[in-house]
Amino acid sequence: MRHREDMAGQDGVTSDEDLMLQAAQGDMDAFEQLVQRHQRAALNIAHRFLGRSAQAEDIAQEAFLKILAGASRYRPTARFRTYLYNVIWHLCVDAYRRRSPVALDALAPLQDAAEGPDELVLRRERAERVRQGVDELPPRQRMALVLKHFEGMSYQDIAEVMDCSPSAVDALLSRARAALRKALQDLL
Amino acid sequence: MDCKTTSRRLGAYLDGELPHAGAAAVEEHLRQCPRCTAELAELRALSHALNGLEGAAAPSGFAARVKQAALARQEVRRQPVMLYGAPRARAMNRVLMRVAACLVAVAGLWVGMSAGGSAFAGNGQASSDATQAAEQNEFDLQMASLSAAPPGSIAEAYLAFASYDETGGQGQ
Repeated sequence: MRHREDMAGQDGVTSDEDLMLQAAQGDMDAFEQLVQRHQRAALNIAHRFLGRSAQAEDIAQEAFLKILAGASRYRPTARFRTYLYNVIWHLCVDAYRRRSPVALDALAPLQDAAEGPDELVLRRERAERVRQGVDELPPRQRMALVLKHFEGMSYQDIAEVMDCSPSAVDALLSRARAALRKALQDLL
Repeated sequence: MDCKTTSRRLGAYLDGELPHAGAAAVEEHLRQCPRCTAELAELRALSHALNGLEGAAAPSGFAARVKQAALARQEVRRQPVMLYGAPRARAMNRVLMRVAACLVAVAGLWVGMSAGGSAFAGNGQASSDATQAAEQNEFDLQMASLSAAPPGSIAEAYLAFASYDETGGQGQ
């Protein structure tokens, strides 16, 4: 087994892929480090896709556990981030199919000392409208939008996560934006 | 480049996904088309509105909890198959019990057939004699119970017929 110090790059930081290889050999500290690096993105993707923070936490945890369970088969041919997001995407689709019609979480942060009550209410209403608009998008359009807008991923990377072509991602984003422009016309 | 083509490429232009020549062509069209320029502004406004979709902050101790959950799963996998244990172990036990029940049934059938077969083969004549004697006893009992049949009744006629059958027509 190679030690973490041996695997560190020139900047002294061990790459995700090397941490993954260590985790595959049973190094649970390497696994925990991977989780720490990607937990925020994992939670945010699931939360923005589903609109439910409790479910997002379950999905993020399950994604990391699935990755560890399959770590022995992992080959660093693709970036770890793409691999992780692909697992999250599939878990989100499963959750979307099983979803129950519960109220969505409040979306925008409401604590802002500079805002008065009216601005707060307006901003909250606006955020809820946007949330509803996104929630009504078909799952593939929604995930493409989340990965592009919030994770800043390229079409190529999104395509790898969603198992499709970059031109398909372009089409998904075009349709998502067209639908949102129509739904939120009075807000834009 | 016309409006239709430009409109189709505005999203990719905004995302920085167009090659240099493609982006230059879009910009060239935008300089002379207020409608496409307005559409680009609307896409930018939409992008701004989407910023209202807040994400979820990672709860404290999340990574440690995931690690603990992973260790717990690994521990479950290491445990041996136990009766009334994990679902997989219970399913395996059910299969084993069914197989055992089938084996017992087949063994019982085989033992029964072996024993029955030897009894028929060894005592065939004795069994036949015993059966005939039992049938005769049963007939005699029936006759005895009908011996007091009233005169002129059907029972009396039956007794007469039976008696004729026994003696071969030599009288009672």
